[in-house]
Amino acid sequence: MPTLRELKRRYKVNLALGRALPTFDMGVALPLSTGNALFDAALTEKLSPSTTLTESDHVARLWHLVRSARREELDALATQARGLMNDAKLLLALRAWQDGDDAGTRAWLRALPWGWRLGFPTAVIKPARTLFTGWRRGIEFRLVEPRFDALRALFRELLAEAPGVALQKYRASVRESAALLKYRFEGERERGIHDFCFGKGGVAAGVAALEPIGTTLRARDALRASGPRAFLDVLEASERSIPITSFMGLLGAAGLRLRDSGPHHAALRSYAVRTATVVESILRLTEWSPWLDAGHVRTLSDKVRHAVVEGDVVVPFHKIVRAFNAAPPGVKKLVHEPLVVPLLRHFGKGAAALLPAPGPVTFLMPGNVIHLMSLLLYAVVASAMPARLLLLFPKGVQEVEPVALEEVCAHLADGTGECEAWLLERFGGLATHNTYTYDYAAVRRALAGLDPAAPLVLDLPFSDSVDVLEGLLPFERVLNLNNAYGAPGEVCLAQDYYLSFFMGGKGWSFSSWARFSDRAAEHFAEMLDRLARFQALAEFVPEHQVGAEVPRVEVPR
Amino acid sequence: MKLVLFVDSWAERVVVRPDWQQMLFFEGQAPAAKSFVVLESKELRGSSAESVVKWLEAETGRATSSRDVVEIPERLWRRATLDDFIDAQNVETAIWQVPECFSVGELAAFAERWAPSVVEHAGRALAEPEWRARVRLLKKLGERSDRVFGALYRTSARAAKEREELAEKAERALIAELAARPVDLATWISVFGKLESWLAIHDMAQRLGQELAATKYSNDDIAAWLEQLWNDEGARQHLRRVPGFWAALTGRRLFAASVRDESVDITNAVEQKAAAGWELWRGRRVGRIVPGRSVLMIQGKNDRTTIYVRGERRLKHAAERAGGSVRRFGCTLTVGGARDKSVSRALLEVERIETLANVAPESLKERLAELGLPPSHLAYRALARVREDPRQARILADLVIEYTLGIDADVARQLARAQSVGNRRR
Repeated sequence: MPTLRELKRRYKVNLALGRALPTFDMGVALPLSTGNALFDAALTEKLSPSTTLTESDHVARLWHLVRSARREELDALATQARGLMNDAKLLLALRAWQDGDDAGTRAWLRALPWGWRLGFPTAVIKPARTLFTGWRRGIEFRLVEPRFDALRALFRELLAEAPGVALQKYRASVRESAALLKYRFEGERERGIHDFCFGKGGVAAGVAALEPIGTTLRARDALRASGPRAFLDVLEASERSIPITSFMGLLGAAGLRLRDSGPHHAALRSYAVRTATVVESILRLTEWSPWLDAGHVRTLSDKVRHAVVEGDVVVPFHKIVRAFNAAPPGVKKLVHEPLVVPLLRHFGKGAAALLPAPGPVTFLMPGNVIHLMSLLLYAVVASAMPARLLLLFPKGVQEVEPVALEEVCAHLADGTGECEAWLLERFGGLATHNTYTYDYAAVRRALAGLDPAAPLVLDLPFSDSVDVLEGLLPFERVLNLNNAYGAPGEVCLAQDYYLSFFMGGKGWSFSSWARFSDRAAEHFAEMLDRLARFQALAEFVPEHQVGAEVPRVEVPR
Repeated sequence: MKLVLFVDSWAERVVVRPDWQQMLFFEGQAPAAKSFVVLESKELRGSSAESVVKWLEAETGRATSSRDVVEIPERLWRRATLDDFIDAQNVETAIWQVPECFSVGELAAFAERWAPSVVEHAGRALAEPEWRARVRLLKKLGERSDRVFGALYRTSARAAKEREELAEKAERALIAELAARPVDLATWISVFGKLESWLAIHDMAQRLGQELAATKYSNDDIAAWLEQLWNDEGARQHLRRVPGFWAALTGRRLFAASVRDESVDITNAVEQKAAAGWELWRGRRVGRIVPGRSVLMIQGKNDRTTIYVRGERRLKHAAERAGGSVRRFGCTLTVGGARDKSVSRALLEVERIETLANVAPESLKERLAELGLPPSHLAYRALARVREDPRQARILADLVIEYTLGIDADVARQLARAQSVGNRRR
């Protein structure tokens, strides 16, 4: 399997040849390449404006790569369909459509979320509506021939497969695709969909196969006619829950707010907690904080266990941590154990699976500022695989005892003083040093004692040292949460430095910088996932093809 | 050596940071937080944390490592007074915390005791006839002056702190008294305009916002009260500093359209997110504006009020496509205005050409024909090759933009992007 340094070398070659995007024009900024421009684009390019390219530049570039792709390239991409960017998957589905490859089209569509699938006819007939925003949505052009009859048949299949909740959430996509196709709705279920999209919903409300659309419509009518009790009666009588967005929308339209008090508010709150998905629940922690109680948290905890830990729903690390950090202290204390720890532990298992042997993974951080997000990242990974934590001080590097995930999480809910007290208790005098003077020679010596094949995570803000670079040279997997030292096996995940003050003159300057590695910690899992995808696809690119002209399929005019 | 050290809190304990490199704790009875202590000894060799730790090791006979929490025994420190600032070694760094610890009264007493000594030092220096001696005395004068007036300079900060605390206490009591009575918004506004304490202003503004957000007030009622707040100079200024007031009113549809049947030139309008505040309230609004959503903002010049148009940059394109004007929200929105060569208008065309070159290059054939370029021209060659090589689209777009609009395409792209903040595909 190609190493990180090999992927970096391939990137340099392709960048020099103009076949790879500079990192500032990538959707996921990683200086890696499989050696194949199409594979790279499918893993990192987004159809949104970047530093030097507009959205239409990206469309032209990516579509050119997709439509001129060779069959073996398409087959290779299909092996990693889940890991590709949605933009690339949509264009690959369009390419399959252009080739008349119905099975391929369906396979690519299955790898896309429902909103994108139901909008596929729009992407074929009026691609500007799905690829662009704003005024560009009105631009007339086509990427492929529509083949209307086949497209209608495909749309019929998509409608038949789509669960009611997807049709409810993506009604606008269904409506637009149907209108562009001049689609004739047939059968009871489709007529219900038509009524839901274009009519008042009377027919849709009676179609059981479209639940929870019917429940939503009946609940809406009950709320309008008889108020919240009748609304709750309809909801509770139904086997299917309505989406939280619909629920909150109906409440808002009726002037009801969950944080107010009233005879039905307890039941409304319970329903909200019950119907929200895991991600939606986490994102609403702050909004719900005035009334969230232990019973609600138990419901959420059960849901997390079913959906994430036992199921395969992926909840991104940054969404969990951001939402948790934004929540008021009381809610943090309430949810950290039943909700956050299991999610993070699950996330840790996923990250560990992406860090194959040999181990352990070593985290190297400064001792003067214990950055909680980085410490949390360490604890999350350490909960799933062997890990070491080295802290850097003015005189030497100190290895500290393992810190359990539960212990870090318990203190994420602390106030500042409580958290500092824990750090003092946990790390003793090591937590009392504030100096930014580091012993870089000691870092080099410490690195020499590690296995260079094992992963190393660096979080050393405001430090620049040839000693560190020297120590990093033999390493194969260095994930740097700050500015890169430049070692061949090192990749920089993010660097966010904010200039808060600057004074300068001829020959002198004084500045003050702030730095946050939160984004780097967020990118950690994304980077590991991307790295695995890059390695998998790079295996399809033989060494002799790197940097060579590869024949493309002739593009039809 | 004598050091004055500010006592801070960390980890729910009190600490001192001699040079901000390391924290030192206290053993036994600790001093109060937000005070100064003195460490004084002939054996103390420097003001750094390292020097202090070495001194403590010698005094206690206990060696420490970086894993140890270092504590200062009770017998080695004493509470500092302002007089200690006259001869302590590290006054320059310690002096910034003086307002935290010493009252206006203590500073005044310090001034009475020590300000005359500066005059005395100055008199002695000026009276010295021998130049070397005078140099020495002037140096001493400088040092004394730095210490005395360095501390006294912080009097203004301490006075501000005491003023704020005093005002806050009195004004919070006043607010509590008002809150206990039936709501009288006119009195609330009158009191609000006169508040001095920032915390009281913040508290009262939040209360006003929450009160006005209550369903018992119609939008017309709220509008009338907002006018009253605007007319009170103090209240008006306070509300500029408290976004929470406006946030409380988010649920009310306050920013209804205020302009109808007018022609509005949106050529130079800039897209931005609408923010609730006086500017939006006093501005002229085309269509109902929702804070947080995109608006086209036309900055008022020469005392003319700012205009906010509901919508995004696409409105400009719609007007351009429709021949220069479009009807929206009961108004006629125009682009171009009196100046045919407006850069803002040309930017719309730049975006269009650039997009078409990438996704529908054949549609630029007509434009190329209008330019009268020879068939061998680079622009035609780029058009012919664009299907095989997408990089040719950029060449085609740049040439068409430059020849038709006379603008450097790269500069124009950046300008167009700067005018459009929202409207991004995720």
